[in-house]
Amino acid sequence: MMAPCFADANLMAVEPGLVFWTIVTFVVLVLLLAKVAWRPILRLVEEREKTIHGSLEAAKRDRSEAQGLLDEHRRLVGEARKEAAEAMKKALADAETARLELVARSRKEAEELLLHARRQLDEDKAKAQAELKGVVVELAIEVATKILGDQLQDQGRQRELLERYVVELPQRQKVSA
Amino acid sequence: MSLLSMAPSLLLGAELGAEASEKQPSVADAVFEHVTDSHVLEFHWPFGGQLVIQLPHWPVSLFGHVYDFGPTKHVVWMWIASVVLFLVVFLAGRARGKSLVPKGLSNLIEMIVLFVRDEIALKTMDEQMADQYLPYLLTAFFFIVFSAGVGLFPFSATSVGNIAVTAALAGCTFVLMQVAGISHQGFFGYFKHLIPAGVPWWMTPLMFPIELLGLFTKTFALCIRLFANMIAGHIVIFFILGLVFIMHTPIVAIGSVPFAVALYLLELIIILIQAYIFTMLSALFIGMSAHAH
Repeated sequence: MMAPCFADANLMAVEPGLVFWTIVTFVVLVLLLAKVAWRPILRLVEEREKTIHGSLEAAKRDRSEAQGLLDEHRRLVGEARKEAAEAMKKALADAETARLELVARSRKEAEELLLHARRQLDEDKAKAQAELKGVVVELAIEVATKILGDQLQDQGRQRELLERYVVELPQRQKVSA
Repeated sequence: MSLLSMAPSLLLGAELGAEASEKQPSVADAVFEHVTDSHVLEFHWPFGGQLVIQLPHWPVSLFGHVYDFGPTKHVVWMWIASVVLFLVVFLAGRARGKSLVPKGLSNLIEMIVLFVRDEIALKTMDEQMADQYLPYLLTAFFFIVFSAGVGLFPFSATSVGNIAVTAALAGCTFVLMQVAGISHQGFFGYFKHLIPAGVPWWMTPLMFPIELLGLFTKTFALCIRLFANMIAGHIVIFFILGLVFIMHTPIVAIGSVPFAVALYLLELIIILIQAYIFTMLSALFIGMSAHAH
């Protein structure tokens, strides 16, 4: 049953007509598709590959450039920061010196003022003491003159005596107190 | 040639067999009728009715023989596959326009084009040759895929499952092998270099015929491999489905139909693999004949 079927089917027969049409169809297809499809597609693919390659290169270049810029920027910022810190330190030091100077000067001035005031005071005191001494002596002479009246003729001698008394007076007062 | 197209004709065959027992067409008859060429295009509708187109005979007398150059079933389906292939590839190239970014169909086609270029052409030839022969290789790959792919649809036929078609394709590769060899090494250089370097001179009378024969055996193997792989799957699928009629019981369908579907899916893979193998070997042979070995 099977044997005649294979013979009828003739699977292995190479029909010249079919070979002819296949070659015609295939060759036409090769030429047509090469022109219309394969060449344009391959060209686009190559173009894209080139673009991707170029983009990658550009990206790499841009990145290294950006890295360089970033490094430069970092360096500059670091320098600026350092400079600022130095300026700050210098300013602080300057301020400290100025302060110390100011303090020293004002202290000196104050001391001078104090000294001056003290001297003035001493002077005034001495003057007042001298004046007071004169006034007291005169007063005492006057009082004594009034008391003693004419008994004391030799005024020069008396006066000397009285001055000694007046000088001794505070000491006597202290003793009595 | 397909799963669907077979069943009605087998049923028809069975009915005919019941009516006229002396003209009983077997399952094998039906199967081989579907995988071989004919001058009839048959379409059977699922719920009765059919369309039968008789194709013309164009007898041409050549060298004392009469050959029929009329388009057969396989020629028609080859043309349909070629038109579909042209439209798909053309539209894929057109769809993207000038944009460098592929999408959808162009992406798929481009992926295959790149595969053929990088994995087949550039692996077997130098860059200049690859560029030269890429259109041929790409067309061969897509032609086989589309011709066999069309054969998976109902009522269609697989033209690359015909030995005449594969012989013609292998013949094209053969011609390009000679063209590449002669254009790269010169006419005499090519035939001189058919004999591998290092073979002693006195071996020439033995080696030359062997190498010359080798050119034809390579081509022959190319032809038979594609033909056998393309037709075998179809025959197996048909016979497995035909088991229903051979066994005279529909219960077999429980096993045979899923099995046939699995084989059908396997066919899809086989088509791609065989297209790859045919293209790869063509590229290899062309590249080999261009350079002295």
